[in-house]
Amino acid sequence: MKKKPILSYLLLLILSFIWLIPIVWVILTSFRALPGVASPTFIPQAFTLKNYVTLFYPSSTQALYLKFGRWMINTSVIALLNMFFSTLLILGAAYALSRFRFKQRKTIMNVALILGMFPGFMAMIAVYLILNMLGLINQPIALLIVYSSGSALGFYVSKGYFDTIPIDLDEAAMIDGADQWTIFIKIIMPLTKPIVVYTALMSFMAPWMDFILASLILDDPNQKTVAVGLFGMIMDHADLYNNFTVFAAGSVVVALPIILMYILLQRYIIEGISAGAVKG
Amino acid sequence: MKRLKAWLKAVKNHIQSSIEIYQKTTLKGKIACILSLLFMGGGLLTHAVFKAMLKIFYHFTMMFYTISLGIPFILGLSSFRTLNVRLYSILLILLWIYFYLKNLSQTFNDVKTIETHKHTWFDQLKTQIKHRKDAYKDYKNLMKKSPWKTKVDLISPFVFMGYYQFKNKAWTKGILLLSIQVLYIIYMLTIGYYDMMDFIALDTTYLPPEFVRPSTFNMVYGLLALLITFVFIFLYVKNIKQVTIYVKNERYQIDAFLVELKALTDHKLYVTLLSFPMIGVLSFTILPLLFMILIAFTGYQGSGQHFSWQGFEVFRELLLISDNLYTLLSVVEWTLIWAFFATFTNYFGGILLATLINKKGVKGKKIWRTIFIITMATPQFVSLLIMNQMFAFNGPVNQFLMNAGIISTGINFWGNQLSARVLIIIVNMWVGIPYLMLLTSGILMNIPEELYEAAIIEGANKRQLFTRVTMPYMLFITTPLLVTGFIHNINNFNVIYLLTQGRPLGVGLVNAGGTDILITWLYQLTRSYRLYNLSAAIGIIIFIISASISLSIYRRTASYKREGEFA
Repeated sequence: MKKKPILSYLLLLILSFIWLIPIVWVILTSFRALPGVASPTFIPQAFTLKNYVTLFYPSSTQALYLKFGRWMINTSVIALLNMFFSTLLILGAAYALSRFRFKQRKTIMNVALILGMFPGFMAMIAVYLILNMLGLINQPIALLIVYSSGSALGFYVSKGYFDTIPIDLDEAAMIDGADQWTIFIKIIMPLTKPIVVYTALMSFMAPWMDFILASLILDDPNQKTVAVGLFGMIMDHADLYNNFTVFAAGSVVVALPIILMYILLQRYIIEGISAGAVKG
Repeated sequence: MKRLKAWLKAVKNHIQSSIEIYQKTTLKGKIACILSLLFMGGGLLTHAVFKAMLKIFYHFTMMFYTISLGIPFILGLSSFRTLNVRLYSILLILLWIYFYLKNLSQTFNDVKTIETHKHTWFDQLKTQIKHRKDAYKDYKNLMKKSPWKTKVDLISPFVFMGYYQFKNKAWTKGILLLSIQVLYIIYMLTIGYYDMMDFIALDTTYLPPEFVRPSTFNMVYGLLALLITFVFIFLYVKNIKQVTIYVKNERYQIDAFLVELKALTDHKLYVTLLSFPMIGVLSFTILPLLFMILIAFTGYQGSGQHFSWQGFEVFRELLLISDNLYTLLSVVEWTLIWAFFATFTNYFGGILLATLINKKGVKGKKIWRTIFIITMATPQFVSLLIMNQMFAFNGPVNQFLMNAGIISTGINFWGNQLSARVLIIIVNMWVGIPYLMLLTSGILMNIPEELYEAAIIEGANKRQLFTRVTMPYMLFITTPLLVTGFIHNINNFNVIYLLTQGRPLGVGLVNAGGTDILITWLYQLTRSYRLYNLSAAIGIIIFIISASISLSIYRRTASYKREGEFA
């Protein structure tokens, strides 16, 4: 294969173009002076920063439902807390099921598998009712509780990863007098850094991405997460014309940090995803 | 004619050999054979209950359907507006017969190879019962030969949890056990009993108004009471067992509480690690799921606060009223088509993209990969809503096409069922391919180089390398992935809802849109129409579809079996 793969480059260029164009369009729209979805030209005729300003300092009518700053704070707090709790729960469950042999182990794994086959949304009506009884409707903390308590069901990927760490290491540490907790924290965790980072990142992402549950629980504009808030902005069709460019600006603000994180932590993501692929 | 004769002969031989198998086998095998003749899954009852239940459910649903609807549809007795239903009915019934026969021959095969006779739940149950019997005998013997003081010890856990621990100065544990018992009794007397009664009645409007709660509350509290009772019984029985063992071994020094606590960070660490997730999953996954499964058997609709049990009424409405059935079948059809295309377009697209990027000689691999990662990292609600707007009637795509002079008026992409469906699958490729590209590149790079070298020596060209080496290897490794992907797509709410919200209106469908898949239909039924019991029934149907697909494929894959050997 001495000749340059020109055809491959061409194909990659076309594909990249297809994949990037919607994103470029959003970014351009977020700087567009003319409101509305439709624009006579792909590249706006006049640029402005107004949309970004409106996002944080909305006009008095928009301020009734547009609380972007609050949404960002809500989502970040939930995301950070969820990252902490969910990671702990997922890795703990994965470690327990990977390293210990006990009577109910197989049962627990099968139950987790079966629970995963129920449509996620099905339980949500009941979750709503339970949260309602606890008085947690319109409280972002409710999201945190639901996310982290269900998170452990996603132990499969990390369990598969833990399975690949040879058990001799544990045994050597045990001879040195370490108890299981120490082995878990001091030996296994550092060795499985990619999966720890991957799990943490995914748990951090969940609140930014999740839409259904959040839209069910959060109704008050002050308590929404960005996903619910932004969706509401353009799905209320009366406002679509005025809100679309602001929505685009909001999308850019939300997506930028996530994209940056993905690019920076690429290595861990690839490792985590492919670990999940091989183990199922 | 000749062929038919040969075929008939083969069938005859088959039946004869089956009879032989039947005559030779053990009693258990005979039972399995007869049961599988009577209904599908019967032969599995002795060793794979869950699978058997699915099959039995399928069998009887189909029987019910054939008698009440299928035959009238086929004969044209039932007035119905489309031909589709007749075709569906014939197809469904033929499939049913095929599965039935396949199941039958499978059972006979199993019986012949006596595969069913190893480690079945039937045998496990037997050994378990034997264990219980032995434990009971032990207990009786102990009671007989021991002095009355020990007898008191033995009887005590039935009456007072913690008595034995107190007697042996294990104070902390004693107090803990005793308080659990006292608390449970108080709970049952004050709240639990009434909760359970309300759960059975559900509609409690006959009570004095100060005791009346909405039926949903009755259900949740009732389930909670049942869960608490189960946990209590578990602890109660465990304590009895433990005390009996202590007495039997004459080991009066009960492990100090602190020592037991310390074990929780060591060889019993798994208890600590799993108990927190278990509590979470129990209260926010299992309890809600049980609730929703039960809702399917009630009359919970609209804004009515009080409803009661009504058995299989909703299932009857869904399956026996022809309009509803037509809607269900259409939605299931599109769900399966969608899941199939979504899974395979992404899968092959991902592999192709990965091979393209990882090709020898292509430079800047990291940059190319990053470009696609950017789209993966964009939150779905952003990218999908943007896509929705891009293809809108006055969106940029139409604008571009009009400016280029290809069309004169805008195309209403989302307004037509077919174009909306095609577009959904295309947009889904945009969303999903980068993820699968990342996922498969790792595996692609791990394909042993020797395989390629061997193929090249044998004169394979590039395309053959891909179809003969790369694809088989990938398929071999990633079958579980395809299954989970398929299940994920059956439940892929985001793509459908954020793109079309189920629109446009479906032709001849009851309360469902033309692009609604089961899960979005369920969402609409709860949020817009408030038919909670109907949507719960659909949830159960989704579960049955996903469970039967994944159980039948997933259990055969290498990674599942490997784990099986591991345990």
